[in-house]
Amino acid sequence: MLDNLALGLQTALSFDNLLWCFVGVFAGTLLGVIPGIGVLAAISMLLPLTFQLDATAALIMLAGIWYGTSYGGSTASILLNVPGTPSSAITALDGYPMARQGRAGVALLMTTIASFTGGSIGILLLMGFSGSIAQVALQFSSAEYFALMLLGLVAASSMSSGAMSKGLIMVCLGMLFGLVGSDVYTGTRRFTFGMIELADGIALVALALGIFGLSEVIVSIGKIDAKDIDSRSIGLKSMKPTREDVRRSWPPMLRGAAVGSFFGTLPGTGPSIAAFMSYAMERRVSKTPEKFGTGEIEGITGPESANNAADQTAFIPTLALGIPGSATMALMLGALMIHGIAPGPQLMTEQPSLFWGLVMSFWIGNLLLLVLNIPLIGLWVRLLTVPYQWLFPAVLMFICIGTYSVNSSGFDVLMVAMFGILGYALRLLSFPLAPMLLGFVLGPMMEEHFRRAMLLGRGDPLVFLSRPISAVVLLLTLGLLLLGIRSTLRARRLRAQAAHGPR
Amino acid sequence: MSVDDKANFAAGLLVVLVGVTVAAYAASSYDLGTLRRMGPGMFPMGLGLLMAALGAIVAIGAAVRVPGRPAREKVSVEWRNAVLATVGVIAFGLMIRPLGLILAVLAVVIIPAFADRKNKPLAVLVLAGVLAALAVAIFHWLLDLPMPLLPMGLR
Repeated sequence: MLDNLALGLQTALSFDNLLWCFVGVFAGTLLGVIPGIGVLAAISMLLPLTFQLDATAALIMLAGIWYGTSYGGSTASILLNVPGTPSSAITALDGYPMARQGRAGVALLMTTIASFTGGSIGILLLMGFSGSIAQVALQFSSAEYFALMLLGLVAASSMSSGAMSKGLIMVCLGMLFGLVGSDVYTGTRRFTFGMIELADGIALVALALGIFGLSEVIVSIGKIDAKDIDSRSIGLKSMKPTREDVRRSWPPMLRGAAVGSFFGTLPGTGPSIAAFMSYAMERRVSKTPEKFGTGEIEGITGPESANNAADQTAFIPTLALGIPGSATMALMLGALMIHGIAPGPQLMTEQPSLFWGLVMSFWIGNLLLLVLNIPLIGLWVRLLTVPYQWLFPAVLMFICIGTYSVNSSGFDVLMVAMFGILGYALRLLSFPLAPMLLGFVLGPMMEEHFRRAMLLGRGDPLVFLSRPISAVVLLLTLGLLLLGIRSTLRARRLRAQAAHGPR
Repeated sequence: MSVDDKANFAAGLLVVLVGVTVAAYAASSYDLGTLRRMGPGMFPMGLGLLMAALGAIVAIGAAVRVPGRPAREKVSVEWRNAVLATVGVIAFGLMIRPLGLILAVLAVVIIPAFADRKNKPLAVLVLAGVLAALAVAIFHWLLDLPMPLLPMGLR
């Protein structure tokens, strides 16, 4: 263990990796602050820039963007009442009232500290548990992998907002896009319609930037107005919390970290749900639950700690099993594969410097964020006052150049336009988009494992049930499906009852 | 039926159509193989059928009347935003190779900028110029990405 830590620290502290860690967290905070750019769009916009880096530096930078957006996302929530990222949406509930009361500085400082606390606890768990999980996973065969991926996809569709059937449709659609290209076993070109550009499949960046970047821009144009921030009221002096603030913030931070760490590792959940759960919990344990929503500090420190803890623990299944639990982690996994690294339990033993370097860089990144966010808060606030009508054309430019630079392909940029329109239409019909990306990345892996398992099972589908771990995971999946169906039916019945009046 | 129900019903049917088409196309164009040794067509066919079934669930769920469902207000489609932003991206995709980075950036900035009525022509031109300069500085000089800067004849 100590050897690993030393190796990781050595890797993370090399000049290049430090630099890219800094670039990542800085860019992450920047993009997190700007509303209308979610974490998925932020990562996919900057993904192409990492292709020239070596794999470790690339992952360090991408991870920095991921947890950096969580730090930055709360800034817009508190000052504008518009979340910078979805995982900070809940922070607006009590953060914005605090800003109205002239306590924006305190709220910003405390969310930063809460983020750091949650993040740190998440990293500790990541360091403690990844190894043993990877050990177990070494025994897994294709059947177990298929079952686990299925569980992840079903969980992702049932946890995302809206009907589970719609989430599952999006998973299927994503998988379908993932199958475009050459079949791994026979080399047959599938769904390319004779287009040479599609022979290698649809570019991950084009899909992600289309459905998350372009469609998000379309939705946000004309909606975001940054006029009502008084940027002079937020200085270092205004950030000083009272003793009472500090005393009341510790317990929520610790509870938030626990809640966040748990939901981070679960497939299909993630920082947004973690933040929401933490808020609900704080309200429950509070002696004055009715005051929530009026500027209670517990309402911001709990969720912010939770979403950062979840950001870190989400790496456990991704790095230890090679199975991403959320769309963002799918993007991270896609980045790994683009760099030619096979994700999975062997990663820790075969690429120890990558794994431990990445983990140790999380410490450095979280510390950098603490340093970046407190003195530079004025800069982020000023950024929020740049009118969105000038920001969004710049965002579109970065999307286009980013996509083009991956394969030097104008075709990929046209794909962005196509997926942008598709994403916008799906938003209008209230289909959740994140499961689609998860399906896109997991689809080809699932097909491979399914075919291999069936080959090993001599064509008998019972192979998935004859192995205990796979059987248990499949049962869990079935349970989730039944739960989803039950809650849908119950919601319908309640609505029907409400319509007929009380009996 | 509420607006939501109508939209869901139409979306469900569309998904059924897509699913069936995919399954039929996969079954007719690619080798299905056997369960033991699956061909390239088996998985996509299954996926298409699954999609069709899920689409049917959504459509039926919307069609079976549930009284008292809160009717959502009419969905407003932001045509202007959607068309201008997408056309800007398409213009970039078509222009980047033959016409170079500078003109492509001008296109992707200027066309979508007019989606927001607050933008005035002069400000947009200045913004486009600044962003084009920024793009050249970052992507050409700093990152040295292989991208043509100018139209074909002028390079």
